[in-house]
Amino acid sequence: MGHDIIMIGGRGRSASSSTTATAAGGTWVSTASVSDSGKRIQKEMSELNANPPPHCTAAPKGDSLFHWVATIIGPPGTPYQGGIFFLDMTFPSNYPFQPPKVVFKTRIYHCNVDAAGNLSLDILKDSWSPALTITKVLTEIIAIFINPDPYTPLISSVARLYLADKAKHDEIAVEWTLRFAK
Amino acid sequence: MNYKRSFEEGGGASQGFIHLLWKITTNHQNQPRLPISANSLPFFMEMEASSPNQRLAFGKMGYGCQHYRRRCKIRAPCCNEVFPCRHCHNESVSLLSNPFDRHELVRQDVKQVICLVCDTEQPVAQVCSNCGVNMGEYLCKICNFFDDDTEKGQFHCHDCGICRIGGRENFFHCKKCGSCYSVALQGNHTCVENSMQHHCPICYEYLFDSLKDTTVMKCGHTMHYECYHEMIKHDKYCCPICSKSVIDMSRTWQRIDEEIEATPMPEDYRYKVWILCNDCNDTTEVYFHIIGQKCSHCRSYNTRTISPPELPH
Repeated sequence: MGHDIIMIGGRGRSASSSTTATAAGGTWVSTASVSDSGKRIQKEMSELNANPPPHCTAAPKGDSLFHWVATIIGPPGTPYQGGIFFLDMTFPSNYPFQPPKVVFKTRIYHCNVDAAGNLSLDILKDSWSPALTITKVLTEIIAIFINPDPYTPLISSVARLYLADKAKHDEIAVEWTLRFAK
Repeated sequence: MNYKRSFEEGGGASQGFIHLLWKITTNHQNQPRLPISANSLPFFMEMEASSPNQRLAFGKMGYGCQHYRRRCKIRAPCCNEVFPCRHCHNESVSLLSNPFDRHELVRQDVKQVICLVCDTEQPVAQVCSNCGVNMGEYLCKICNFFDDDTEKGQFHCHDCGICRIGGRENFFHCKKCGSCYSVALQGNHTCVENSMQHHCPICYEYLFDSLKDTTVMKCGHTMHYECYHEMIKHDKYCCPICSKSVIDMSRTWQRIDEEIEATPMPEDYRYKVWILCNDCNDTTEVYFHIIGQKCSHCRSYNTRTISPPELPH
């Protein structure tokens, strides 16, 4: 006699939902953005949490994955030592094809950062590559803390002082760090 | 009454309910009554005294998740929860709010599987010890990978240490690059050590065991095929990792040549700069121009300015 083979528990999640449970101690968080740039930022966030770079932290501001706040601790050996500098990072909708916009929220005496907090960094403009990540950008910013670039300055007076009298430049930098970043 | 329709819609119906419905619909008069227990075979199979071959093929392609068709679930060795496959596990776990709880399932560590037909938990095996179904037409004991859809041409590469799809005859393992490449690339590509053991520069997914197709560029660097096309759509024609041009740009360079001819720079801006060519890695000293600087070695405009090189005394 003929009979049908009936399929139990076909495709989709309905079959598995009865036995999969939330992993121990976790609550589900829905990802607000499912676009490709959102997914990429999400992956960078996991990478950042798994391997945090030294002297800095970064996290999304609130619910939006496209606005981040980062903090950089002035690296030892520089006049910015011990200061805590806040940065705002804004990711464009076509990230990673366009670089994120980085603005300093803490005032700093540096030839590549102006009074409004705008940062002049080659990788954030012409030399941007989609392979660069938040970790690499932050590491690069720390690198210019250690070695400012006076040949492509944003504030020429600071750059000139850096080249002419580094000790005086460092003195003013320490003063500003004490005033604004501590 | 349309009992068949009720089965297909009720995808999550429990075993007990199914057995009850079978009792109602099957003609009992000629058949002995058998006790129904939680772990017994679906009713009709006990009736038929089916051959082992029929049992093996039962439910092929009918069970599984959105990623694979298979007749078993796995118990994740890391968190001891049951998931249909390792991708379902990774996706679920990546949504956890505490970032320290997020982790990936290591496929080689899977020890227990649960048969989807009779719900028996058992060690990894080809055939279910309780009901005799084949839990996955293709089984790799090393990766603990079950898959009913053999049309994908799965094979295990011992050098890579994982299973891949596409048919063993279409791929070869390049020892230097450390990965399996299409045979069309044999002797025909630039070897880059461990070329696939990094993240796709666009979407940041780990390439070595990614489910999406990967492409190798002229410079030897790898990225997803879709991400490559996404990059081209955004008018970026350089490799994100080494900035070499990915396609033949000679037409573009010719057009830029013509543009520069047509727009001479004013006197004040006619100074020389040192440039490094991304394509041939050589340095040249050329006149500055707002549109771009041309490398005199390979005639490419894919260059960037550098500080004058230090010459040895």
